[in-house]
Amino acid sequence: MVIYLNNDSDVPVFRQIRNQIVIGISEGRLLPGERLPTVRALAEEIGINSMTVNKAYQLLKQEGYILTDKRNGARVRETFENKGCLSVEAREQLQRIICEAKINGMSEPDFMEACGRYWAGKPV
Amino acid sequence: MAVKIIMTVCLYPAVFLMYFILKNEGQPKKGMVFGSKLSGSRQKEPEVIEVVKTYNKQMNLLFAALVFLPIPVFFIPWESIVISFWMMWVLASLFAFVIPFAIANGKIKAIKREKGWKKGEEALTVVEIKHAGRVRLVRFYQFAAPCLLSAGAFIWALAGFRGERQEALGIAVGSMAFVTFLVYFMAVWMDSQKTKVISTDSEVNLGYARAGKNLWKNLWIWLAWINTVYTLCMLFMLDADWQLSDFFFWATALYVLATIALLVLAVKKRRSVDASYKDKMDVEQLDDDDKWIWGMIYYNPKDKHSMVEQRVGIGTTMNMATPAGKGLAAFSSLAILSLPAVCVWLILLEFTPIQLFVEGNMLVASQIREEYTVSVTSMENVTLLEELPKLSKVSGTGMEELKKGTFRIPEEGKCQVFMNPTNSLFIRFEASGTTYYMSGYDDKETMEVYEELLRLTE
Repeated sequence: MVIYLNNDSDVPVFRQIRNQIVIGISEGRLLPGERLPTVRALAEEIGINSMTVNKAYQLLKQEGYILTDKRNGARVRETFENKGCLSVEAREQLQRIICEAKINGMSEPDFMEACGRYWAGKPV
Repeated sequence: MAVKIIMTVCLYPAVFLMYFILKNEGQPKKGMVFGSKLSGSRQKEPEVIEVVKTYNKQMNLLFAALVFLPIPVFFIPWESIVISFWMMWVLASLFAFVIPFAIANGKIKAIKREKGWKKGEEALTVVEIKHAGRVRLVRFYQFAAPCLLSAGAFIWALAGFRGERQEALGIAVGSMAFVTFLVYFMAVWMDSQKTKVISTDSEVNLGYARAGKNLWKNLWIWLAWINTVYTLCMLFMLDADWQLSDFFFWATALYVLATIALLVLAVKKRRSVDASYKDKMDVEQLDDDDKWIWGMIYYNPKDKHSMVEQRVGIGTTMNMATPAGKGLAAFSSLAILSLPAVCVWLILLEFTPIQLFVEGNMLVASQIREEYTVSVTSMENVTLLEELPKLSKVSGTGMEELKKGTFRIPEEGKCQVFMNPTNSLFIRFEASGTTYYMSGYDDKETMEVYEELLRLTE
């Protein structure tokens, strides 16, 4: 799975890694139970500090997307908790995105259409 | 004449190599021109074509100048001047062609800015995470035999092949043995470098990474073996008492040729790997031109990778922003700056006359500084020679008109030499278990010293 990281972005690198892994899981590019690279290997591949990758993995684990153990390393969870709703943080982000869309003059049908496209896994 | 032939054979190809590599890199291809990212359609824009034309003209002019420049050197009789000229010429050949390339790169960057073609992707990093750290092909057992043989050769040299300890042999063989280990560490280092992302399909990226790393691994293994064979040859050559200068020359020539042939083969194989993956490449390479100084030097402080795929030629290059890159840059600068100093030293050596004289009870041999001071009372078997035995240098200076330092003579072993070998009279003597061969600046000076020595030793 290919990920793009932006060093000049306001979003911290560990969060960019977390976001791209979540997108990869939702789009099926990372399969349930699939092994993720070790913290050290991924840090070396990206060319960043191991702590940054470790932080991203801890966040993913905390949010219930991956499992980590000392013997097998990190893996995508086989099953996810179907809460049926967004987390508080995600709801806040969605609200911010809707507000931005409104300010930029985007109509509700266009916004819903964009949401539908992303939901279907079509490119952004 | 030998120096002129050796220098020509070894250094003259540099101008052709640099010209063809950089001329070829200046031609639009693979979404790149002059080390700057530019799509195929934009490469056909008149402004870009104009830059290419100007570049080709400049390259041809430089090539013509550099190709004919060494001709007068064949008429120069002084060895130090000949060597100095070739040193400076090869430096000029290596760097002169970079200037038009850098200028053209700057022009293309300016056109991109002006036309709004610049994508501003300098801060982006693209990474394949599925196989991160899983493509490691280098194992120590693959290098164990050459490393052990090289280490064995070094230990043998230190212990003394025939019971006699030889420092020069130890240093020479040790240096070459060290290169074998260096090759192994380079192989491990390159094997751990980031893999290039060419496709959105992870399996394609994995296959491409494996093919590339396998090629490098094989190249390093072959280099380790070639170096080991040369190390063993050196052990044999330096230890043997008989004249082996021809063998040494051919072994060195073969070593260099085999290394070059291997590199050429690796480049060809790399090209065929790239060609076989051409249709599968669906990830557009990022436009990170600002990270490439002159289109050929990678400088990115935000990238911790010390090695990246190079833009000019095939293979990898250093990230000059990393400590390893800075170290290499400092070392290269020092090596380049030391060349003029070496030339000045050589000229000084050739043009400073040697002096041999007796002062009190001591024989003094001096040039630039005092080289030898031998007590006349310790001298034995002082003889005047009209013909020199065959000498092979162990350490010191071995120019056509100056030989000084430690030399080896087949029947006598090691001896100390200080002479102008173009003279026809030489003094041979023994003192404190060491054999000396000396001469003055000319035969008159040699004769005077010889008569003085005879008078004092009688």
